[in-house]
Amino acid sequence: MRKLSSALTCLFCLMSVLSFSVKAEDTVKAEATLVASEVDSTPPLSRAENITTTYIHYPFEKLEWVDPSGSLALSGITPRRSVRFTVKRNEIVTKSYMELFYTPSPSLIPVRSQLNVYLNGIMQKTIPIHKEDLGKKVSTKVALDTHIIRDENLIEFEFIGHYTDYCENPVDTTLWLNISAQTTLHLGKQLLHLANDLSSFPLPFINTSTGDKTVLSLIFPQEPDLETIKAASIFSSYGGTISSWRGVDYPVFLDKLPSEGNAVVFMTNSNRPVFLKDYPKTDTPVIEMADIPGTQSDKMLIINAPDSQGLVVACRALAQGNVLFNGPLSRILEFKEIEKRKPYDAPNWADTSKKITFGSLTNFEGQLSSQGFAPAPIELELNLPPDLYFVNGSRIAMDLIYKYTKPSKLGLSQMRLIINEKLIRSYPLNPDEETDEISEYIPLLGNLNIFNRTNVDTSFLRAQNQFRFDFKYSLMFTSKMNECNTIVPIPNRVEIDPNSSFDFTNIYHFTKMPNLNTFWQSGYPFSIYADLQRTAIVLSELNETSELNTLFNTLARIGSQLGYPALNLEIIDARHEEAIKAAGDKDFLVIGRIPDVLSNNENAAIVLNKTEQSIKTSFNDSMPNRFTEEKAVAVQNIKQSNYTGIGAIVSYRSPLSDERTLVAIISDSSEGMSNISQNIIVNHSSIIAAGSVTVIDHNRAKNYDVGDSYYIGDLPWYQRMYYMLLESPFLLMFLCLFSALIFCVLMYRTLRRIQRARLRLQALRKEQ
Amino acid sequence: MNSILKFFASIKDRYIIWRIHGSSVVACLVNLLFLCLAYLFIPLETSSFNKIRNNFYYYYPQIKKDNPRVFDPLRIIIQTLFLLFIRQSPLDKTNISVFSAAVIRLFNKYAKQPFVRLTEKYTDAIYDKTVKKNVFISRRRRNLTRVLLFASFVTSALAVTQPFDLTYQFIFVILMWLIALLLRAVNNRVSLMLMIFISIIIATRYIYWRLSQTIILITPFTAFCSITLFVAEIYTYIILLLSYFQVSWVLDRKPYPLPKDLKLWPTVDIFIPTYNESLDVVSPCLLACLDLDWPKDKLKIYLLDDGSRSEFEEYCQKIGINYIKRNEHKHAKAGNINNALKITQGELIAIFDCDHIPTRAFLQMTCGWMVHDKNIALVQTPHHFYSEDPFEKNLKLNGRLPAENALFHDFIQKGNDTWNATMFCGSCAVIRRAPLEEIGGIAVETVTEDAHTSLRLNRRGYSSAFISMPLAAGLATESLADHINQRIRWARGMIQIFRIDNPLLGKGLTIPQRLCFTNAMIHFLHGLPRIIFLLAPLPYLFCNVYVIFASGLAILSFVLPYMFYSTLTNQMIQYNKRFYFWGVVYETILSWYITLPTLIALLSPEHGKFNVTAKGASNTSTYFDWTVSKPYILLIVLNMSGFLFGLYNIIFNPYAEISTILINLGWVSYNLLILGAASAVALEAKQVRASPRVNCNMEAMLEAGNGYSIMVNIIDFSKEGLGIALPTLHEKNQLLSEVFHEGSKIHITIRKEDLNYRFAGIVRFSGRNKLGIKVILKDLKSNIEYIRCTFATADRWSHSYDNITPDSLIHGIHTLIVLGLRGYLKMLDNTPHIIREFLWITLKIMIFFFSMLPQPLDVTRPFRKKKSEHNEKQNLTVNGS
Repeated sequence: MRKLSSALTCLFCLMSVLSFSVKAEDTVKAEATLVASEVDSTPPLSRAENITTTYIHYPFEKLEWVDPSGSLALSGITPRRSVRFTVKRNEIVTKSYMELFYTPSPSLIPVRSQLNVYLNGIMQKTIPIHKEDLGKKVSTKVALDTHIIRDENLIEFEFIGHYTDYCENPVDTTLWLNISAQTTLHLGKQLLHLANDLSSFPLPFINTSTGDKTVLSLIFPQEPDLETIKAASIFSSYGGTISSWRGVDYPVFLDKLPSEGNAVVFMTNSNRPVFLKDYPKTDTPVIEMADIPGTQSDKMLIINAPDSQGLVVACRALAQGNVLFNGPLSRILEFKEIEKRKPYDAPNWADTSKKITFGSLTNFEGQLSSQGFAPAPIELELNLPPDLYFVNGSRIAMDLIYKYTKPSKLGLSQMRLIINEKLIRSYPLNPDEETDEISEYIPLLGNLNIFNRTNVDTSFLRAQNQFRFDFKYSLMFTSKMNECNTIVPIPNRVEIDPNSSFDFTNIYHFTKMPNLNTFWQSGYPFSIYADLQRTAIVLSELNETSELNTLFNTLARIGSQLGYPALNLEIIDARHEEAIKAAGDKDFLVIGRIPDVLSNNENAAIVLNKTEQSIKTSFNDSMPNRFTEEKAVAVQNIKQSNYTGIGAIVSYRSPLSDERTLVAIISDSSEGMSNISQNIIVNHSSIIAAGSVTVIDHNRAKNYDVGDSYYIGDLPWYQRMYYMLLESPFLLMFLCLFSALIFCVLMYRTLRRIQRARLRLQALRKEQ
Repeated sequence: MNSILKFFASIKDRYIIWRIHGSSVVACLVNLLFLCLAYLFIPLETSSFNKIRNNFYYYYPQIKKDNPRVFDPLRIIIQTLFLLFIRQSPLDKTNISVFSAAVIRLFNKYAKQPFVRLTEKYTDAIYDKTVKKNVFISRRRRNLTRVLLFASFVTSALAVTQPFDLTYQFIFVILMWLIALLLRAVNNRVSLMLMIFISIIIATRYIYWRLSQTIILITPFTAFCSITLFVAEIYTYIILLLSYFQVSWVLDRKPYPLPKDLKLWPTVDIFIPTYNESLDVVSPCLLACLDLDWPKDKLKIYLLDDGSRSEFEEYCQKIGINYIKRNEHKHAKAGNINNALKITQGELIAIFDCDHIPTRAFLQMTCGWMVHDKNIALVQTPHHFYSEDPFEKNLKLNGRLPAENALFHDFIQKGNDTWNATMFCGSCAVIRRAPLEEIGGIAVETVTEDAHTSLRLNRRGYSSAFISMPLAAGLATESLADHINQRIRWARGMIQIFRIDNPLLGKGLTIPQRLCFTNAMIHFLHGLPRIIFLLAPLPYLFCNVYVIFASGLAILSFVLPYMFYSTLTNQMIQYNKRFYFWGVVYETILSWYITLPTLIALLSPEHGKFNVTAKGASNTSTYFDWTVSKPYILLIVLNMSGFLFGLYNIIFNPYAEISTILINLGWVSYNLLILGAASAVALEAKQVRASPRVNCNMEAMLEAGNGYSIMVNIIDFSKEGLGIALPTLHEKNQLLSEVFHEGSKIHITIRKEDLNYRFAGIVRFSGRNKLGIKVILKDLKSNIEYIRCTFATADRWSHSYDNITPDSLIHGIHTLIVLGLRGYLKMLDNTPHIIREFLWITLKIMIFFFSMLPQPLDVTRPFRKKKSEHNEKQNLTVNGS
C-alpha cells in the first residue's frame, strides 16, 4: 500500500515537473532577452563569472507574512497560506531546498489529507499525511526548482484536510496543520559580477529589494573639509530616503578602502585618497561607477568634482533626481536649484492641511480590499507630524465608506476599527442591509492626545499609526444529524472606498520640548522642514570616523522617516564660534563635543551634569530600564569610572534662541560613538529615546527628563490659555467665581442706583 | 401570660379591623408579621418613638389607614430611609431627617454662615460707599472698574469655551453644583446675582459646546433635525438671558401718599368697557366703582357698552352711572375706549374690565404716584382672580400653588418697573389722559391693544409704574379651551406688535425697555420650540439619527448642569410665584395652539381676529375635553411608541448603544410626564356655582329670626351668599342647627371700619358646623354695602399668596410625577372601554412602581391631626379611580 502511494507521489511529481518545464523555458527565454539588452549597452566582458557558492539559511521566522510566532497555521477555513522571500539582483540561486517541519492534526484521515507546496505558483511537492505522522512533528525535505526563483518569490502551502467520511464541516476545529518555525529555507547563492552601469542606480549600492540593511562605506581623503562632509551628508540622507525602513549604515574611511562591501568615494581634483591619486582630473562634477580593485563584485561610486563645492552640487543633483544615469559615468552639467520646502510637507507625513483620503495612504494595489471566509484585516499606515496638539474636543473626523458582502443572518458579523492595536469601535455588518454602502462619521473623541500634558506614552494616536479594519464574519455551517447537506461556503469580500478620509485640518502644531522621543521617532524638530533647511549641524572633529558615521547614520534615519533628502542643511565646525552664532535661529544637531557657545547656560549645565552623572552611575545599578522623571539639579559629580563605551543623546533649549532646540549626540569615547551610530539605524535597535537625556550603552538605554521645559508650535494665545487650564477645573471654577463676583458687584451698584432713581421724582425726559 | 394573651388579642383586633376595611388575607398576614418583627427589633413602644407612632400617617402618606397592602412593609422601609437621609421642606419642623440635619448643621456652621457674614458685610460696605453718601465713582476708580469688567469678560469667555476632558468636565460641574448649593442656602441679593451670572456662564458653555461639537450635517435629515433642535435651544437660551435681565432686581414700589389738600387730587374717569357680558357679571363692578374712595365731584363712572343693550342703559340710570354706547363698533375694546375718550374729560382714566371688582382703596393707592410725578403716564396694578383658573380648578389644587398668571402680574411686572417698562394689561390701571390723547388713544392696530399702548407711551418718553398690590379682582377664564383662546389672542397680538412696531427698532426707548418689551413679545413664540423639545428624542429612537452628536455621558455632563442651574436660579428668583416644572406644563398646554397663530402673525401681521373670552359660565358636568387635548394625545402616542421602541432596542438589538438610548428614554419619560400633566388639565371639573366663592376670615354677628344671636366666622363669600362656620358649642350643636335650619330667615351683621352693616338672608344649607346663607339685597345701598364688606374691602386681596409655601425640588419632582400619572388616569377613565382594558395593565404596573417611591412630607398638612381630608386626596392621586 505504502509503496503504491509513494510510487504514485513520484509519478505525480514527475508529471508536474514535466508539465511545468514548459513554463520554465519561457522564463529562461525572458532572461535571455534581458541579457541581450545588457549586451547592447555594456562591454561583453561583464557577463557573470561564477566563482564561489555561498549557502544561506533562512529560518521561517525571518521571512515575511508568517505569524508572529514564526509558524504557519493552516485550517479548514484558511487552507492556503504563503511566505515570501527575496533574492538580490546581483545574486543567482544555484541550489535551493526547504527543510519542512510540520505537525498534522491527529484526527485527520491519512493519505486523503495532504499538504501541497508551491513555489511561485508552481507545485513543488505534495506531501500525503501518513498514519504514523498524525499528531507528531514530521520533517521532510522539499526540493525547490531554482529555475523559477525570481527576485520576489512566494512559497505557498495548501492544506487538504479530511476528518470524516460523512458530513464534513470545514469549520471543524480538528482540521488543522501547523508548519513549524523550525522550517528553514536553504539557498545556495553565487554572486554575479555586475556591469558598471549607473542606469540601475541606486542598485547595487543601496538595497531596496530585500529586508536587509545596507552597509555602504563612505571614503574621504585625509582631512575632508566642511563642504565635502556636507556633500556626503546630503548623499547619506538620500540613501536613507531610498532604503526607507531597511536602514543604512555608513562606515567612514579616511584615505583607505574598506575590506568588504560597496563604497562611495568623495574627492576633488586637489584632495583625493591615495588609492585614486592617479585618477583623471575633471572640470565638471562627475559621478562614476567603478569596480573596487581586488574584489569580485564590490563596486564603488566615485563622486568627483573640481572642488568641494562641486561635490555638494553633485550630491544635491543626485538627491534631487536630476542626474541622467546612463553607462558608467554621468556628468553634472547643469544644476537647478529647487524651491525650499514648506513646514510639515515631508512626503512620508500625511498632509494635515487638507483631508487625507484613504487612497493616498495605500502602498500597493488592492490594499483596501480583502476576501476570504475570514477576510484578512485591511491595514493602513498613517504617519503624522509628531507635534499635533489634540485636546479633548479636537475632533478627528473619519469619513468611512465600506462595502461588504452580506453576512449570514445567524450570529454577529462586525467590522472592527483598531488603531495602534487598540479597539476603537465595532460596527455591525447588517445582514438585511439592502444597500451595501454605509457612511460613518466617527469623531475620535476622548483622550486622543498625541501630545498630552503629563505623559507622552498614554497617547492614543502616535506619530506612526496603524489603522486596521477587521471584518469579522460569523461562520455557520449547520446540518442536522442524518441529513447531510453539502454547503459550499462562498468567500466574503470587503472593500473600503478610497474616498474615505480623515480630517486633521484645524489642528495646531504645539508640543512640549525637549522631547527626544519625537526626535527618535520622527527626527523632530529638524524634520519640520523636510529639507532640513532650519538645521545646523555642529561637528567637533572632522577627522573622527565614528562621529562622521554617527552623523551620516542619523541623517539617513531622518531621511528615511521623512522620505526627503536633507538638501539644505548647514554644517558648522564647532571651532567657529561666529558661524555658530550666525546660525542662531536654527535647530542644532551637535555631534561629538558641545561647543561652549551652546553649553554655557544654566539649563545646559543641568542637563549635561545629569548626563555625565548618569553615564557614570546608571548602568551600575540593577534598576529596571524605564523612564525616570527628575527635575532636580544633579549635584553629584563623580569624576571618572572605568566603564567606557557609553554614548548619550541630550536635548535642551538652544541657548541662542528660545524657540529652537539643540540635540547633541555625545559619548565618552569613540566606542561610545560607534555604539550610537549602530543604534541609530532605522529598525535595527530596540532602544527608544525619550525625555531630554538618553544614555545608551550597547543595546540598553535610560531616559531622563531634566532641565527646563518649553513649548514650540503655532498655537494661538487663546489656545495656550485653554492648554494651561486643561486639567484644572478648580482654577476655572475660581475664575468663574471671580468674574461672577466682579460682575455681580458692578451690577449691584448699578441696579441699586437705578432702583433709587426709579423711586425718586423723575424729571420730564422730554424737557431735558 | 396575661400580657401574651393581650398581645394576641390586639393582633386579632387589628386583623379584624384590616379585614373589615377590605385588605386581603395575605396583605394582613404580611403586615402583621412585619409589625411583629418591627416590635421585636426596635423598641417602638418606648416614649422616644411616640412622635412617630402618633403621626404615622403623616410620615408615611402612602400607607392607607386601616387598609394595608401586601407591599406596604417595603414602602415603609423605603420611606424610612428617605426620611432619614433626605431633607424635607425647610418648613418641616418635625426634624425627622436626622442624617441630613447633621450635614446641614455642619454646612451652616462652616460654609453658609461665614459666607453670609462675608456677603452681608460686603453689601453693607458697598451700600455705605455708593448709595448712602451718594458719591460718584472717581475717574480712577472708574478706570479700575473698566479693567475689572474686562478681566471678568475675558475669564468668563474662558470659562465658556474651555475644552475639558469628560472627567474634568464632571469635576467642574460638581464644583459648580456645590457652589450653587451654597449660594442657594445663603439666598441674599448678592448670592442671587452670583447665581444668575454663573447660570449664564453655564448656559453659554452649553450652547457653545452644542454649537462647536455636537452638530453634524451628514445627511439632510440629520442636518434638519439637529439644526431645528439647536435653533429651539438658542431660542430658550435667549429667553433665559432676557428673563434674567428683566428680573435681576425687581422694584418693590409702594403706593405714594396723596397730598392732604383734596383740591390737588386729579379728576378721574372710570371706564368699564363691556360687550356681551351679562348684567350679572357687570353689576358688582359698577357697584364697587360707585363705592370707590374718592371725592364724588372728581369721580365719573362710565359704562362703555358696545353691545348697545337697553337693560344696561336702564340699570345705569337707576344706579347713577353714565352710559355710553357707540353707533359703529370698530376696533373692539380699543375703539370703545377711544370713543369714550372723545366724550369725557377727566384728568386720569381708570380702566376696569367689566368683571373686575375694584377695592375701595384702588384710586387712593394708585393716583399718588400720578400726582407726585407728572411724567408717569401709566400706573398698573396686578390682575387678580377670585375664581379658580382652569388649572386650579381642574387639577383641584385648592390654592396650594401660585396661580398661572401670578408670575407675570406679581413678579415680572415688578422687574419691568425697574427698567421703566411696565406693561399696560387692559384693566386695573390708571392712565393719564393727556399722554394717551397724544399718542392717539388706545392703539387699534393689533389685538393686544394694551401692550401696544404702553409701548407707545414709553416711546414718547413717558414713564410707567407698577404697584404690586392686588387692588381689584376678576374672574379667571372658565375652561381650558377659553384659556387657550385667550392666550392665542395675546400671542397673536404680541407678535403683531413685534412685527408692526418692533421694540428693538424705532425711536424713544432705552435699551432695557427694548429688551423687556422684546422678551414679553418673543416669549409667545415658545410654541414651536416646545413641540420640538417634545419630539427631539424621537429621531434617535426611531431612525438612529444623532440629533445631538455626542456620547451619552457628554450630553449628561453638559445638559444636566445647564438645566439644574437655570431651574434653581429661576426658582430662587421666582420664589413662590411659580413652582418647579409648572412653567413647562403651562407652555406645553399652549404650545400646539399658539404655534400656528404666532407664525402667521410673524409672517403677515395683519391677519388676526379678536375672539372674546367667555366668562361667567358654569359646567354642569365633569367632562374630558378631547378636542382640546387631541394634539397632546398625538404627541403622547409618538413619545410612547418612541419609548417602547427604545426599550425594544435595548432588549433585542445587540448593537444598541444603551447609554444613549437610556438618556433618550429619560428625556421621553420626562416629556410623557409633562404631557400627562398637560392633559390632566383637559379634564374639566364641574362647577356648580356660577358665582365662585372666595375664602376669607371675618367676624360677624348672626341673628336668628327669634332674636337669638351668636358671634360667627364668615369663611367664604360669593356675590350671592356667605359661608359661615358655626362655633363648636358642646352639646348644643343640635340646637344651633335647629335654630338655623334650612329656609329660616336670619340677619347678619358685619363690622367694617367701625361701621356695622346688617344684611337680611335665608339659610340655604345647614350642616353640622357650617351654614350657607343667601343674602337678600333689596336696594342699591345694601348692594353697595355688601360689595364693600366683601369684594371691595381695601386689603381684601393683599394676602393672597401668604399661605403659599415655596417649593422644594423633591416636592416639585413628586408633584410632576403625580400630575403626569393623574393625567393618564383621567384620560383612561374617559376612553372607550376597549382601549381602557388594553392600557389598564401597563398603567397599573406604573402606578405600582410609583407607589414604591418615597413621598416627601406635605408640610401644609396639619401635624398631629388624626385624619385629614388631604390624606385621602393624596391616596386618590396614587390610586386613581
